Amino acid sequence: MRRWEQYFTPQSLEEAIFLLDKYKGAGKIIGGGTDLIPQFRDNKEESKYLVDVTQIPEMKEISLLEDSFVIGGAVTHAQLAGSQDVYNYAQVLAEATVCVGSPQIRNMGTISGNIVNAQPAADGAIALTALDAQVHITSADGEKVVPITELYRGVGKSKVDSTIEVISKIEFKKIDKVQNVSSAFERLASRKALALPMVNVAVCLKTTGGQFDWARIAIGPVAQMPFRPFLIEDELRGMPTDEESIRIIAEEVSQLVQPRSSKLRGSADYRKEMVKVLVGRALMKAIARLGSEPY
Amino acid sequence: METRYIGKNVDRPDAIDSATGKLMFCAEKRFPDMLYAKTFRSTQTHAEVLEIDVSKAAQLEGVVAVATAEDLPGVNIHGIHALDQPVLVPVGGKVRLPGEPIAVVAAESIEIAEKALELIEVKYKPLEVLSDPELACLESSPQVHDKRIVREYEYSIGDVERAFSEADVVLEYTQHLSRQEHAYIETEAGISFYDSDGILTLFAPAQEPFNTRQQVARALAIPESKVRAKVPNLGGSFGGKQSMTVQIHTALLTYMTKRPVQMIWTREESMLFSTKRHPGRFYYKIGATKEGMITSMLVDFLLDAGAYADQTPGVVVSAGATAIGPYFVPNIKVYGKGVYTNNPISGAFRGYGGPQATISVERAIDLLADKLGIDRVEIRRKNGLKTGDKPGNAVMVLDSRVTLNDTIEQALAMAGPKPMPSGKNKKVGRGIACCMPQFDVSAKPYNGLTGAGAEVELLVDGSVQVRTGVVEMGSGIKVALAMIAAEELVLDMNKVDVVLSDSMLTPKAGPTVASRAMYCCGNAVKAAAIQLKDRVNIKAAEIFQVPKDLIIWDNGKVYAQGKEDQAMKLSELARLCYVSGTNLVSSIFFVGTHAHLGHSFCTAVADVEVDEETGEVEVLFLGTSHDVGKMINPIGVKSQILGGGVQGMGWALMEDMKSENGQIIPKNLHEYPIPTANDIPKRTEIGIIEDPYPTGPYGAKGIGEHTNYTSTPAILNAIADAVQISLDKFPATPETVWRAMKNRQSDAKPLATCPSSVLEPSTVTV
Repeated sequence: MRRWEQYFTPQSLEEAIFLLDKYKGAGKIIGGGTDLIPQFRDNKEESKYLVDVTQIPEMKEISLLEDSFVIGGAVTHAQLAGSQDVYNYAQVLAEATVCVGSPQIRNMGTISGNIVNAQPAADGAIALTALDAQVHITSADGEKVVPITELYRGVGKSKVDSTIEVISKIEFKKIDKVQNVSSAFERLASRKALALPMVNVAVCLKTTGGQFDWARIAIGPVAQMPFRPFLIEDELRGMPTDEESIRIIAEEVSQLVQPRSSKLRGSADYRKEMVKVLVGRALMKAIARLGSEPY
Repeated sequence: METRYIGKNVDRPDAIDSATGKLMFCAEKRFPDMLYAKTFRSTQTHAEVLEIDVSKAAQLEGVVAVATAEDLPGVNIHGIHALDQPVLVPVGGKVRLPGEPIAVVAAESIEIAEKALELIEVKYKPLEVLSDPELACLESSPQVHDKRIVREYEYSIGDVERAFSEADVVLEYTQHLSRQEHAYIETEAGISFYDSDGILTLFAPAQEPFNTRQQVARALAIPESKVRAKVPNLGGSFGGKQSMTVQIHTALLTYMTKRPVQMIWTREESMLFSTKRHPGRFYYKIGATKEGMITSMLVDFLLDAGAYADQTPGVVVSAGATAIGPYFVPNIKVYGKGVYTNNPISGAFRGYGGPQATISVERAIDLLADKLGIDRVEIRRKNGLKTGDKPGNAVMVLDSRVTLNDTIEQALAMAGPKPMPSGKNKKVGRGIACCMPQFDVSAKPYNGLTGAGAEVELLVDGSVQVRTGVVEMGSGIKVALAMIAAEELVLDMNKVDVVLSDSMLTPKAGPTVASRAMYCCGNAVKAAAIQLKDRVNIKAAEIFQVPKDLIIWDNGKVYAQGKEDQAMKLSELARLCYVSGTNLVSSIFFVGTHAHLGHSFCTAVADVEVDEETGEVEVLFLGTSHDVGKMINPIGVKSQILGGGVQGMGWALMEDMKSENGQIIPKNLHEYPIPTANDIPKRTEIGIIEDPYPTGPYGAKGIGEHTNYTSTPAILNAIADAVQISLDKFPATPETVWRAMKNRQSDAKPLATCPSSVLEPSTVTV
């Protein structure tokens, strides 16, 4: 196991940025460390200075504004999974984050780490992709806001360079049933906890009079990054929200994805078929949530 | 009979510390001046070692010793049933699987030791790999050892061929078994050092300290009297810590450096090189009358021993002895073998071959019932062994009441009505599986197991120490033995301490294996306590001036019957015994009177719900009924049953230590799922039949392994019942079930071909 030389716990975002700037690439942001520490252990990480952002108060807050959420970059999965606001107004994120790892991992791991680690199956990132999250990235040069879908370079490779910048917060529109907007998450794994998904699906949608206004569908791990079938999402506008239409949409999505065969996580043809099942189930679940019947 | 402790729930004294992480394990201990050891392992699967160069590693600052085969003073060999495994593979020797140790390094820190490994250079000449056990006996296949077969099993009675020709129905079925990892929490770790008397001392997890002592002494060419092996707190084993792991390596490095040496295997090393449950294949041909009476069974099985013999000789026999199931069959022919390959080493795993056989026969019985159109429970009731029957093997005699039907009825009663599906695309199924598991009774030496020694000592302060060589592996033997001593000596539990598994302090008692510790050591401790009490009573009788059978022991006091007011403290009596020359240590070496193995019966019923779209299986109910003879500590017995049941469920649904060309695919516990707390069935029930075993302590039978036989086939049978798939291969992962459902039409008749070995068994080569 390699080891870092110094470990900092800045109390403000400015201080964290100052430290990154000072060490010119030899420093690195650490959140819960649930991905980074194993990388040190496997000698795959060699940063000398670790900048822990989990003690920065403003980065640990979940704020529900009038029509949007602002999630601090150091908010943990456990915080999101346990938040009544998130459950009420971003259910897909509550459902996704409660599936991440084990209680220990959810207590430590952060939602921004879930993005920066850039795994195409990361449950939190899949939900944020369906939520069309806007990610605020802060560096010594200031702040930029980038849609989550544009942050991926490849499997495990993020465009966020955590040796010079940090995800300070994540913003997305709230999901409000009153406005006929709903969301849902579905997942298939080898066991009921502490397992990466074979397939996971997050959807957010809006309906009017039994028709889709719009829907966003995020699927993992079927591509190098959380996958959105944009063309099908377009096609879906105005389609009825009945079982038959959903079956057709799910089938089309399934035809579009190209999952890989994995000796541990299932063959391509099975995963392709499961995309169909889970997309269908997620859409049905989200639509059912708009009805009077609890789903 | 009113008891003090026997049959009552007693918590394990170490339970809270185990659960809260306070209990110390080998990997957490630090000794002054201690060195840290690491192993250089082969990356090749099958290769000749041409050259080993450790010179650069030896020169690295902080490296104190680098050992190769050349440094080993004694015999470079170890093994349990057969000595065929090198301690360190020498130049000119062969590596036979990935991960085999070639050199070990001792350094001032783990980091230095790891760096030193990178400086070791080994040149290999790769050899062709044998990974398919079905090909192991072909002349054209690569040869892993001089012999190809580790062990064969043959048993026959009657005339199977004639019976088949006369049968109304003949079923053929082949079951394939996947490889299971023990996945104990504690990876292999140990420390060795010289004590002040110059005794080479080892603290390391194992299932018996005496085997460690023997193997270390042999490898270092020192007398066993110069070696002390102690098994401290052990974090799970399930059969997987019987072979030598770190012990000889740390001992060698301590021998070379004279300093304490610690070695801890990482999880990856443990999964790479620990033994596994034997994968294999069981072919069945069963003949029956149209009324459902089984007339004939032919079994041909093959177990993949992997690269070394390890426990395969015993496992082959145990599997063979379980292959007929708990049924009376007049015509039997069983042939089986374990073969060498370049795959991971197969060893002992809770049930020792029995679970593989049980899964296979219980699947076959279900298919036979279906073919006959007979109820699957009814066929088991009809053919189940009855008291006085001869079981289908040569190692068991039914010497107590057959309680198979009691367990069947109890398991079904616990299950109640079959649940309804929870939604559309969901199918519910129920499965049943029965078994007659075995346990060792320290009878005439069988498979190398011997009698069980135990000492009970009364100390002059009135406390009692029990000493015996078996190991606490998590099954609760330690508290159960304390309960027995406290029961016999009429003492409070807190007056009794139990010391286990130290080759210098405790009598040899054989290993904690074969579900034997309770039966064997329980009998030994009980007899030793009775003997001690009897001896002290001679002195008490003299003091109280009454015959010794009128002496009453009562919670640390001793008095003559009817004269409680003149009671003497046990401590005072002990002191008087001591000063007058009474030996306060009683010692018993228990040897069983049976000429065979003990037996028990159990039945599991499982209800599952299968998602027809995804293939996901949810176990709604798992209920198991066991005849345990007598529960010494009910809470311990029941937690064993639940744990073993869930472990079997893991094998049925998710666990598969796959390998490809000899290389394992899951490398860690992230890639190899085992059930979590969330995966435990929604409803579990445990049923107990207490039919006292005539020779067991208070009537107790073994239980530890028996919990691991029936949950796997009951769940597989339930899945087959729900969605009519074959499951001749498992685990029943969502994809496996989905694919089987998709291929249902072509899968309806499982392909079964009779392996040629049934017809021409080769000569036994052990």
